[in-house]
Amino acid sequence: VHLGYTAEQEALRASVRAVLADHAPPPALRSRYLEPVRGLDAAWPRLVELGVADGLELRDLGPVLEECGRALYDGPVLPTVLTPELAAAGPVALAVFEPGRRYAWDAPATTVSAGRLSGTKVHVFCAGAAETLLVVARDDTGSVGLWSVPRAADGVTVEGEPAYDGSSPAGTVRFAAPAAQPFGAGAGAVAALLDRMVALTVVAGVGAGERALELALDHARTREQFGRPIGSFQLVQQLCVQMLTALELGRAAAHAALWALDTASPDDAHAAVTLAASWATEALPRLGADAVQVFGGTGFTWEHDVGLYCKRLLTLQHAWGDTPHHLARLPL
Amino acid sequence: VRLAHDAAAEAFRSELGAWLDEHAPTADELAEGKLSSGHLPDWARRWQRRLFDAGYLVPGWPRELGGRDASPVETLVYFEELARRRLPRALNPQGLGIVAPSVLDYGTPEQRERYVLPTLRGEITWCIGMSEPNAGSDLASLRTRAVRSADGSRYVVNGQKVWTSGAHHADFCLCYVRTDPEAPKHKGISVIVIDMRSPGITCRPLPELTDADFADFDEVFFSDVEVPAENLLGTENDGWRISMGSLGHERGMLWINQQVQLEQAVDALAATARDDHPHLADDAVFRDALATAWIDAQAMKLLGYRGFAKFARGQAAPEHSILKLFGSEAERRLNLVATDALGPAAWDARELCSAETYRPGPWVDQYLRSFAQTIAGGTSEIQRNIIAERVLGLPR
Repeated sequence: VHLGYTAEQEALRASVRAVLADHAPPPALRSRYLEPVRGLDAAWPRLVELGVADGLELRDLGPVLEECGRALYDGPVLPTVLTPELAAAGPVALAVFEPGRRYAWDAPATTVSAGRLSGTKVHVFCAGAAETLLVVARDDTGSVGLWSVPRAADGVTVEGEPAYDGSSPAGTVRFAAPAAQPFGAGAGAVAALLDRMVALTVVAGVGAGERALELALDHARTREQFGRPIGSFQLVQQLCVQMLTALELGRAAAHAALWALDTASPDDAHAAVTLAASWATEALPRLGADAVQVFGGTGFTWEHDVGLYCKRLLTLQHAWGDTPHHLARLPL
Repeated sequence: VRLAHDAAAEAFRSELGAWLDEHAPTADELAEGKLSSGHLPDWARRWQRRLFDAGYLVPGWPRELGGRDASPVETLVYFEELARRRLPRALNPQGLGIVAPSVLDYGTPEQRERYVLPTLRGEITWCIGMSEPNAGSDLASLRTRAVRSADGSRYVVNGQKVWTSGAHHADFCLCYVRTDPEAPKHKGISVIVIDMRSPGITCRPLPELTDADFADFDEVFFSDVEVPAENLLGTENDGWRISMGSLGHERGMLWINQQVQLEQAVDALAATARDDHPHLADDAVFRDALATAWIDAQAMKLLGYRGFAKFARGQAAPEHSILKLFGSEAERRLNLVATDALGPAAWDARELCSAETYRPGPWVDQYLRSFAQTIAGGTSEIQRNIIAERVLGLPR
């Protein structure tokens, strides 16, 4: 077992970093931060050119998503890169959750009847940038599966949800009987797709956490009070060490989950994903808050990037299941 | 043990309650809000004036200063009652809580005349110029310079303040400046009153973490700002003592607002769970977290009462340092419990928090805004140092 990135993975990582530095750095993000419905951004076609949507194994997508997290990338890399089928339909958005049902997706009120889809989905990330919406719905027989609807189809409306984290644009999507094509059969296929989604979301969180820690460390090393860098004070050191611990345990668990998804049985993979998610949903939002605390007043401003990271990391608790949700699914 | 105030204090509460029923700002006025802690809209000026005229502005002070010679316990009841009704008392807390008492303690008769009553009546507002880019936790390192003119008639001020709450709306700044750069850092600081309309002052509001369009605090730049020498408060180079005194005013009561807000937020979260997210009622993890937050709020009140009893007897009360640390962290914990409990609904900024601890907004914003409490007025790290050194007597 190889626990670091290979030379090829490092090369891909560097390429992704360069593209995002050119096309999607935080200053560019800020210009669209308050628009919940956004079209496709300039970085996406360049990422596609790099091959991120060529059906890579999840292990190879690890460095890609870490970089996306570091840059707070707000484009549709997730879920588009999750499987070759999704990539072919891409860019795509997953419409999974419904109003008032938290993370329960396996008994949707959204229905498909005679090839027409009806219902409302909430928290659909990158709904505005997607060409294809993949919707969890049940058919006339009551069986649950994924259905594909072009976002531009008649009968599809996307309404932005004003969210606290502008790097995660989300929308409410209403389906007034547009035509839908079956995309994947059965709840098992949906569950497997969500495991991939959760694992790579955690990896992106690790990337964002890594950058937040870098910002905090840089501040702790250079900011002086009482005649010395604040990083020399043990209470500040304690905050930084706590952040590092959260990050490295999260990173280890996240990469183990990618490995398991590529190589292990679905049950073992699910266990590994759930473990990583349980850790990340609790520890990474805390890391973001600690980073703000290291900055003091500066961290509490709209202008400083550390606040953007703090908000992005907090979304780990709300996007694809919170800590109790994941803990309850650990197969102990 | 059941803690209750005595009959006299409860009589005071009834009398105050009856007055508030009649004179409190209307819901419409409260909803109008204000733009910053230095901004007094008309409704707020009228409200502060009613408090002043009725002797309810600073109850412990004499009648001519907007009080009624109330006892410490009555003052405690007063703060409890206002917080319980979610009524803002000091719309410009810098002026009422810090400037007025500091000018009363250290000002000349002319300064008291000019600043104290207009401040109490809500006619003028203040900001406090303390922190600077390189003087945050280490306030005594401040570098904003005030140099006496050759004829001694005025100071010329140059430098920069930051985190100056309400500066872009305030009429005056109680400003900490360096008047003797040669002296040890605590001994060369003076306090002067700066008219914020003076030429050479630029305010740059800094929007907060949660709101691109809401700024309470500012960066304030002073460029050759002329200040009459008579605006010196107290003795030149004795400003550090004033700063210690300034922050001590009302310290015995500051926790009350936070404690009541915490209690109200617990109630609001319980109601949200009951009414809007029914599955939470049976969620053992959530019930545990909510009960813990409730205990935090009650424990804070009990500790606050102990500290208050010492404060009222004129004794040192280390409880207040503990309350600042514990209260701000408890507030963060509770708001995080709320955002976690709401799950994906916390995402959507249209899901508002009924507790509205700071400003209207979703629970997530309340959580992010609560970060200010663990930073402002001394970070939690600084509080821990203070407790370790001054309360526990541990070596530096």
